[in-house]
Amino acid sequence: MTQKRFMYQGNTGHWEVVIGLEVHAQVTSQAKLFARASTKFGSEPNANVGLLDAGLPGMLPVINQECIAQAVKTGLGFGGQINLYSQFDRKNYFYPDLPLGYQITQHYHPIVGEGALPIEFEDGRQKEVRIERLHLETDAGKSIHDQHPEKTYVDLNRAGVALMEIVTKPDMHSAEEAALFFTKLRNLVRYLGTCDGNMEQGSMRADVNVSVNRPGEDWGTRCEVKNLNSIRFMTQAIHFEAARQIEVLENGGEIIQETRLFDPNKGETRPMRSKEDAQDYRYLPDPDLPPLRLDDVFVEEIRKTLPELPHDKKARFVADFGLPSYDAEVLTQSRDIADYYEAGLEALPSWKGKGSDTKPAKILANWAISELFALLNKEDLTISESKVSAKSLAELVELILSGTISGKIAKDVFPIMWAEGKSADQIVEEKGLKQVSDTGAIEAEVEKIMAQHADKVQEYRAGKEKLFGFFVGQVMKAMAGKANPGVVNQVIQDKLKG
Amino acid sequence: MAVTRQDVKRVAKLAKLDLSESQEKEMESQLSRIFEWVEKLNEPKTANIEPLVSVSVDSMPIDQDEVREGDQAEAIVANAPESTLNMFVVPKIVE
Repeated sequence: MTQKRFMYQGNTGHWEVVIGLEVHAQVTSQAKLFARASTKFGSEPNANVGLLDAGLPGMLPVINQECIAQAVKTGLGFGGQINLYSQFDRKNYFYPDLPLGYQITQHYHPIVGEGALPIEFEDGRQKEVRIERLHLETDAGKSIHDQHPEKTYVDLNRAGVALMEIVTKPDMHSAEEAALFFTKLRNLVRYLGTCDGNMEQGSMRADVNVSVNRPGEDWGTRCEVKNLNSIRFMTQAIHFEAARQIEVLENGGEIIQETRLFDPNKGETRPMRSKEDAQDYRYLPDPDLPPLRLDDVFVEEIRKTLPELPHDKKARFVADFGLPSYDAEVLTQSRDIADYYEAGLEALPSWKGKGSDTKPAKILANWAISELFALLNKEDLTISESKVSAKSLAELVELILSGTISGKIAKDVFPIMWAEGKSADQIVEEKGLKQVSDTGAIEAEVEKIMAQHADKVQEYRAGKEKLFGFFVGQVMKAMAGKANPGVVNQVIQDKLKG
Repeated sequence: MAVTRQDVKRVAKLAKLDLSESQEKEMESQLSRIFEWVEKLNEPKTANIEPLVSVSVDSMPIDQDEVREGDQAEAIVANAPESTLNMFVVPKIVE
């Protein structure tokens, strides 16, 4: 790899950072991985608890087919090796939110092996982040520490819910790359419908492994920062951790391999437990669970259900619609947004399809990304809750493309469409906003302005060409912004020449 | 394999057990004897034998994605020494 890497500047020179991620993504399913209690978020305490989840004696785990299918689907989404033979192990540790005394996970034989996801930088540069594995495991319950000074309350609703743990190779070299990868993975699982990607509710969280080294030297000792539940925190934690390690090393210290916690209030990481105190999980194959055997038919049936993946969709938006890579990325970040855009394009008469003039596609993209997203963000709405439909936005864009209104006027029309639910045509008609392209009317106005400002006309003709903009402004103002700017420019140019 | 006092202390810490000195001494000798006995398992030659994961069935049974359990919070916490608002209550543990 000869690409230039991001470097941290220390007091004694440059440092490289090496980052690997372990992402926990909650599987979208009705019931839990090994019990048939509900996975619903926000239920009453302990309402969604099966006898197995509570660790009651004599209960046997039985796997949920949907969770297997979701894991396989996700694996296919990143081109992972699907293992037809996999197995479950017990990871033993003591904690009140883990009544069984062990987590059921896949330590030795994961359901999905190696794959990769490409990430793309803002400047269009691409790189691939390799994925080592995806395995299925159970989540723990929830400990609530802030209800009582000496007690911890335990709610087991989450205990036993299926998680996919997705482990990358240490292929990332900056917080930006880690954030890009995480975003890419989240878009993928949302496209696939295998995880809702909702970080506020804890459906997706990441552990980050960070180490630093001098360029050209071996990797340093790594530290793991646990349980980051937003991309912003992940970025902050990586920056802090890299800077902390560099400072320790530059002062002659040594990095101790340890697990650290990120404190969002202080923006720093602090040690949780060192390697000496590291848990010995005593992994062993779960004797209650025979091997999981899948067949090719099952995998191929799932492959048939795969939607167009974000990366492919983006490539198609670039190739077929002539969009810049950035626009295509933004418009394919979710299936709903991409569908909205494509529905709009479909309804746009000026768009003649793949291979024709791409200007209509680009103008529609601009409108979706700037004006539409601004109002959605302002009112905290998703695209499916938009108050202007794809078809209505296309009508507005068509008015611009046909020269009926200017882009500037359209920016006034759009919020009215949003607020009043009227069509663009109707608003333009009612408010008399139609653009004037009639050369005669514009010529009359230009002559009037020139007569009013005879002094400026002379100055212009004497060489003060900056005044051109002044005339344009005066004419537009006099015509309430409705004059066709192209025609106005042409007429003023002709008249000023004298 | 002889178990050292260090091993006993470490395992006690991981298991969150608070052992007195005489208990540590007792564990040291008991665990050492247990380990010696378990070491018998090293005698059979198993290098070329595929690990047996289960003696019962060859592959796991698979169930549908249906909710059939739950809505029994009172029953779930019924055996708990202490509970509040249908939650288990335990001594505070913060890691």
